[in-house]
Amino acid sequence: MTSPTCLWRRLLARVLVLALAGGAFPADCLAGGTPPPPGESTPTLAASIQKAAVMESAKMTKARASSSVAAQDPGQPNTDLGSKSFFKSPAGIVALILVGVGTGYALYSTSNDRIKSPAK
Amino acid sequence: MKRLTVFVALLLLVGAVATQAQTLTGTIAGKVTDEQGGVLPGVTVTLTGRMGSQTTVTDEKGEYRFVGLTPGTFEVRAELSGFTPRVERNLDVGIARTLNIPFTLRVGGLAETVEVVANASTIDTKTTAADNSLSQELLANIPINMGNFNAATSVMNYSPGINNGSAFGGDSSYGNALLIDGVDTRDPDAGSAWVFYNYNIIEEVQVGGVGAPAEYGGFSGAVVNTITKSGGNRYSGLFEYRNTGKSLAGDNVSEEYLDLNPSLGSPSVMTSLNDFTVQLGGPFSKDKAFWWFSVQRYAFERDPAGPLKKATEVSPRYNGKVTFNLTPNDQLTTSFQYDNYNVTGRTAWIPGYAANDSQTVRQDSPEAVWNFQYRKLFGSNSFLEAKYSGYWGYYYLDPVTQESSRYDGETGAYSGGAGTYYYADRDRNQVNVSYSTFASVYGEHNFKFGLEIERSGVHSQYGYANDVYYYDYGGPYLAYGYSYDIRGKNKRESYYAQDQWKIGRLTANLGIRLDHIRGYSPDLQETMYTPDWAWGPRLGATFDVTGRGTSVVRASWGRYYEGASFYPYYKAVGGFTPWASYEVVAPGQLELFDETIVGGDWAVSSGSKHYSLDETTIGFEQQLRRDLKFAVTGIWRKWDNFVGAVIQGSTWTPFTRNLPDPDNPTSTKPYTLYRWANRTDTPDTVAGNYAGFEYRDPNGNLLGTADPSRNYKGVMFVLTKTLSNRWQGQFSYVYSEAEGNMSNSSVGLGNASFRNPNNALVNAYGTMEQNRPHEFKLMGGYTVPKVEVAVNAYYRAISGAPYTPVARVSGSVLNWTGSLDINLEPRGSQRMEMLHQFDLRVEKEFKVDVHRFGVYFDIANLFNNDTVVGVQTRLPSRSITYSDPDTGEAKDADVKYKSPTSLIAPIQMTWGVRWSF
Repeated sequence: MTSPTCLWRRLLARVLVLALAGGAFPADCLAGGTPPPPGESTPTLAASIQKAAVMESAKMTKARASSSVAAQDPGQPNTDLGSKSFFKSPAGIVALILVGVGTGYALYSTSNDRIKSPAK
Repeated sequence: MKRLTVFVALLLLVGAVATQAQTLTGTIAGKVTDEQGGVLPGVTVTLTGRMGSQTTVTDEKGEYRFVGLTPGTFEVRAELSGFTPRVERNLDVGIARTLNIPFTLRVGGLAETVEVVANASTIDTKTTAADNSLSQELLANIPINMGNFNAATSVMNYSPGINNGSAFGGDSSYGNALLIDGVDTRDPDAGSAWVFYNYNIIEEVQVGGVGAPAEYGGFSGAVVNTITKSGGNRYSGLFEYRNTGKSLAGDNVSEEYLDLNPSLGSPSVMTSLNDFTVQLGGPFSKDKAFWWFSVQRYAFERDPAGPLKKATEVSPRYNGKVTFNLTPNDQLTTSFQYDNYNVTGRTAWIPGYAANDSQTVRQDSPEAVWNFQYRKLFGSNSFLEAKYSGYWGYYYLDPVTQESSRYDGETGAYSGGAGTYYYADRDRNQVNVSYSTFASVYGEHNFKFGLEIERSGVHSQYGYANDVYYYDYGGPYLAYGYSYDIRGKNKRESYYAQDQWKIGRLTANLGIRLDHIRGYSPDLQETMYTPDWAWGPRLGATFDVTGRGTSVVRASWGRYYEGASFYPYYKAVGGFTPWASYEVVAPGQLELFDETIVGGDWAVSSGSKHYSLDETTIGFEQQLRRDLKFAVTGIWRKWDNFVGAVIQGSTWTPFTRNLPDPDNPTSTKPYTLYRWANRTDTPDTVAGNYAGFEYRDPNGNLLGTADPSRNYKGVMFVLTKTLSNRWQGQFSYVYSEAEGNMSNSSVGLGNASFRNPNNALVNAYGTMEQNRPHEFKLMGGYTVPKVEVAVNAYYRAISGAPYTPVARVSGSVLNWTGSLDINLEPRGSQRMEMLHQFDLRVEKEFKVDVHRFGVYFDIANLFNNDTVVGVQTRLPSRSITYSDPDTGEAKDADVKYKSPTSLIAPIQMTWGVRWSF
């Protein structure tokens, strides 16, 4: 599984790449390029990088969430079956009661219903 | 090291190594390539299942492997920096199966996960063994447990090619290896089922034997390999209760059948059933230790067929399994089972159609099964497994009353008590060691070497209540006494070596197995049964036709040997009393007038060969879709080295006797029979390979030669759809022919049917009793959306059983120890009607988070068919005593040849509730 540290390093790398790309972009293109549509302010390079970083971060989070889900048992929704606190939940208590009753009755039956051969 | 730790954690959950069949785990392996086909080393591959995750890295060839997987469902994820990760989900790993899961990674930007669900093959392209496994989804949902509380034998009969316990022509009771978590649980006496267990403790069951590799042995029919559930990182539970009663049963006996056989008027009906199970499992410590246990108690009452009114069975059962990760490379798994059977209403000396409730025996039978397995990893390609397993148990049958049984030859009536007792003590201890390793030398090798050591004990006692039973004739007349107290110890060492050698698309399955079997008498302190060392070569090959693992051609040849059993030498160990004949001179006063050792002294010939099976298979398997596959397999089997008993030095006088004509039962036709000419010389019986034994008359003329044989050929079609889009199913059709003169109906080794030439030479050859030429089986289920109601069904149409018309000839005519049924036509010349049966389960399921609640109704024989499954085979007729259903009075009925004697069970519904998480 990809570690969170690795994901953030990638994000930082992307941001740096974007920053470098923006810096390498010919100033004269920026200066003399196509004017923005009416009503829309010209985005600054810093704002673009920040926006890109936010988008990347959102995707990383989604990827981490996907990875986390994938790491869990397939097909299982959120559940506390992996925690010992399960036996403190209502379902866990009922399970323990059923186990106790069932086992107790089986043990009772083991002696009460036993057909003992006179040869043994 | 860290990856190994995770890897080992998964291995902890592996069930114990098999004794007769080794592998209880599966493998997922594959290759990772880029879009240009170049291999990708260093790819991180993560396997996730019920018990957690483990990770490995592809090697320089881009390959990865996960071994020792407990059967179940997994997902595999492959990722490498600069590539888009890919995930394969819902991968079902079965026992001894290898799933090939390749990945093709494409260059990608961010960590965007792509799920691939279409391309992976679900076919094992390396093994030559036919896969007849039943998935957990099928087992848990189809109406598979309809009053049979032994999952091993009932599950087996749902598989293609197996009916009544007879697998591909094999012996119905004794020919199958029945394993639970690798422990051979058969009775060492003759090989029948000994340990019973419930279907809902099963994680996965593999029914196979066809094309099996060298690690499988000790069978001549099939191998039923069951893995029980295990704990995991997540708590799991199952709580189930089942119930039925007389009001939920029907009646399928028509007036027509009653006219033919009035004893059918009282069919066997389950009058009550209460069956509950509680199961729980989880971790002691995450990834380090796991536990699982199950407790079941069932109790049922049955109104048996005939005069009996009540038979009961109560059985508490306990199962548990614990796994420990001692170190990253060392794992220990332990499991146990304890149960006892408490049964009333079993019949004994007096047959079921005549016995009343006081003329039955009671059964006391506890047993314990244990299993300890240790696994050691050497790197990621090799591992060692060592296991100690076994069981202890007994079943004792005691008559309800100590009154002797009586049979009146004049009236045909039975009286007195059940008449006999039988005590059986059994134990079995086994040690298995195996070493598995993968290697890449001139292709890829999957080597496995193993050693098995078995010691199993038999102690059987039998006798008559008050030492005798009475043969009256309108009044006290004669009495007979007989008993035995015998012990035996089976000893076996087995060695095997096998290799799955893959070169490109071709995989050669090469193996050799060597069994060293002996039978020892503790009382005589002598080894009685010493067959030759049994060499069992296994040769096979598979070819991946397309290279994508979706089309496979298989072929194999192998020699298999039956397991060790007491039967070949049981009569040579001493402990038998003579057959004593008494005259009843006055009530309670007997005068001995004859004592005979039945069959003379018994010996076992040395240098015999153990019972064997030669099998050839050719097959083709095709994956049609990810969830759909088709397989066709041709199977040829020839049994050999039959071990039986003949009377050395016996001579027989042929004579002609008129017996009923099957084509015209009111008339007769002549048959040549044989009378024992030198019985008073008491020649000895010898058990061994009796093929070629010559039957001669007193002048030395050859009458005939023993030529035991059994041959089977069949073709099996299986279409399997795994669970997807709410439905699953399996359809199979098997056409087969089985012929010979060695019955495959509960005969076992050491049988004595060839002692008498009237059995060996008179119409002995023909169709085997368990042969069913046409067998259709269809099982499946569909969950109706929105209402979430699951409908599961099992339908089968199977050719009727063959039977042979016979005439009973008294022992005095043949100078034999008792009456014999003489075949009037070749064996199996007649056949009963085809069986059609449809069983249904309807279940309403409720899901709350991870909790599943269900209420279900099982209906056996939904259409209440009245198929005849037993007929009266004796000409011209036979007297059957039955209980008048209205008055309870014992009556006799003259039941003619071909009249029905038993029908399939009538319609019966069972309801149940269950909760699982």
